[in-house]
Amino acid sequence: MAFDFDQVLKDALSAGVAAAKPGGKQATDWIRQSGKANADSLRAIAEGIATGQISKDTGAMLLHENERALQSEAAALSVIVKASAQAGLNAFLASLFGALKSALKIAV
Amino acid sequence: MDRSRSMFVMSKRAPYSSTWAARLCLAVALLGAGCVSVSSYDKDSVDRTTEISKSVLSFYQDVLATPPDERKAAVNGSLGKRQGDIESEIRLHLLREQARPMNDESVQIATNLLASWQTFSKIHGEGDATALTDATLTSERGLMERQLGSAFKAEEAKKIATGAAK
Repeated sequence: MAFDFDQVLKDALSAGVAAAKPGGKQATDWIRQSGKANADSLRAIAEGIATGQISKDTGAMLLHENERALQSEAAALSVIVKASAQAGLNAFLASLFGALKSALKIAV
Repeated sequence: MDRSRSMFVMSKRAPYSSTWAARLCLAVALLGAGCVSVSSYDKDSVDRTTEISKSVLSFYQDVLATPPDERKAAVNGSLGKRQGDIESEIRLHLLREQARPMNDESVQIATNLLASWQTFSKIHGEGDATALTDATLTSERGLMERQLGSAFKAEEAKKIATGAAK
């Protein structure tokens, strides 16, 4: 039986994409959530400054901490992306290796 | 054709079977090593973050429940001690995160969490007249929730790497 490398590669790629899919959805949801949280924080700080409940100094401190929160959200996004890539690549390799192993068994 | 030229042609056109063997070896080597880019999911990390969240949210609830003109005294008294306890909890969490391999992002989040908490604690004691108003405190609480939410998200995302997340 001939070994169809193109088909094996195609199957491995499909396996990789399927494994990375949940991460793609989580990344999209997280970006939306982070964007909304950032907008809410900025609105609350701006309203506090406008009503005199927050001074300029306190407001500047809160804006700095808002940047820090954004940094943490970006770090969480980075984990989602890395984990998705890891899942995708490992599924790709597992599929490829499975097919190669079967081919080797037949050849031997 | 001289001898050196004939060897060059040989090396350029390797037999089909040896090309396959090389591909197979590469695949085996790659699979043997696996691909690992993030630390594995750790329930203890989620539990620690949950405990810190409880302490932080309960702190803000109690300060906000205190009449505005009594907040400064409360923060300099019993609530001040709780601020210190929360800082210790976050420091311990940071140390535990630092001990895990391939965990740069969670370490970054824990570092940011600690830095924000230290800034807020300092402002509560030394800030101006608006440091303990409802608007400032609710903004701070919102920012802390975002830091804690990032810590939870980063940990849950590690499940994706093993295919446990759907």
